[in-house]
Amino acid sequence: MAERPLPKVGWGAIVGAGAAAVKARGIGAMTLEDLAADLGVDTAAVSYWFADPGQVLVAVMEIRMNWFLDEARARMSPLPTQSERLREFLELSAADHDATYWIELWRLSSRDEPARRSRQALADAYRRTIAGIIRAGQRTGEFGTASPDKVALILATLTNGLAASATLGDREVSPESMLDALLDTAERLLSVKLDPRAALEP
Amino acid sequence: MDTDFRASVLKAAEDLIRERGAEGWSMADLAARSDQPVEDLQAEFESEWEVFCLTIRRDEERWESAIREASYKDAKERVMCLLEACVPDYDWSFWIELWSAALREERARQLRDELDQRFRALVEEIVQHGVDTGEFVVDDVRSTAVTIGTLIDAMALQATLGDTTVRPNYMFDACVAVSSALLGTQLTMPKRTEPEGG
Repeated sequence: MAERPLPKVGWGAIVGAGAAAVKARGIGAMTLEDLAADLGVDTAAVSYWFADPGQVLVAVMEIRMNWFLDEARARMSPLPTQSERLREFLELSAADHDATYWIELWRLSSRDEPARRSRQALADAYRRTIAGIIRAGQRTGEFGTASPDKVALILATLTNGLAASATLGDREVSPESMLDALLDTAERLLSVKLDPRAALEP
Repeated sequence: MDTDFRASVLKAAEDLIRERGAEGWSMADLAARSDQPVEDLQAEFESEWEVFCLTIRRDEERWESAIREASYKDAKERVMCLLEACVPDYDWSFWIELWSAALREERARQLRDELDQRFRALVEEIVQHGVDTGEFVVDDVRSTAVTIGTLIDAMALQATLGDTTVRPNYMFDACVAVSSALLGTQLTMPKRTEPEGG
């Protein structure tokens, strides 16, 4: 009898299933075998694309970060001032505050060198975008003279911390208070007024 | 059980948790690591989770004691003591484990909440001190404390993960800049004493 061919599964389907599995079980409890079972395929069909669950998590994070930065650019581009662009970026950060995958990536990065490098690349991409807005705002005279890289690092790091707290159900950190803290910190460091909108967009 | 026994076991637990995470080891592993009979460990500790809780609490208490015991002449110096305590001891490995566990476990969520509240209360106490003495200008003491506490946590997290930008001095400098801005004051970086003969 001829051997049945392996069921085919695409990269995207695995990443989608991986995203759900990380959320449900955590990266520590996730295996390629479980992922294959979730997809109804042989483990070899999954390991063809990914050597370990950590690579799946990194792929999930890269897709999410690319989506976030594309969305931020699309929302910011029609805005006439850098102040409005920075506010828009921070608003989107607060609205998209679910840090579940970040927390899992931090845990993985603490013991896995490839994950550590990926985390760094993702963090750098986020910080570079903020620094770019700040530099542009300094050129137009909207922002004060603080170091763009330092302020970007501070805002990105504060976003990480507040998002993690909000994700974990912290009673003192909501998406609304997260946005207030980010705007207040940015205003003080950049000597600018970023008028908050009345409510967060869904 | 004597305190030396507990201390030596918890020290071994710190190493195990850093290496394997909060859940990647058993009481037998801890017995082997601490060179103690597993029966003694089982008599002293209810579970691996209890050992993890004791380990992270002990770490937090050490850090808090360092801040509380530091000498200062005013609230500004207290803030600097708080920030300085994070620089050499920025290993947030236990927190990373706790946050991850808290995504799915209620007991971890409760422990995180308890430790966060305690840390924020300490920051709040320092901020309130500065408001009372007129050194700080702050509208909402609690929310300022939450922001400063969160920034310290998140900076230390990046440093723990070997971030290429968040080196200890950079982390300290950034925390001083934010704290100055939020407290409406100018915190000054301490003058470092050069080592003798250096």
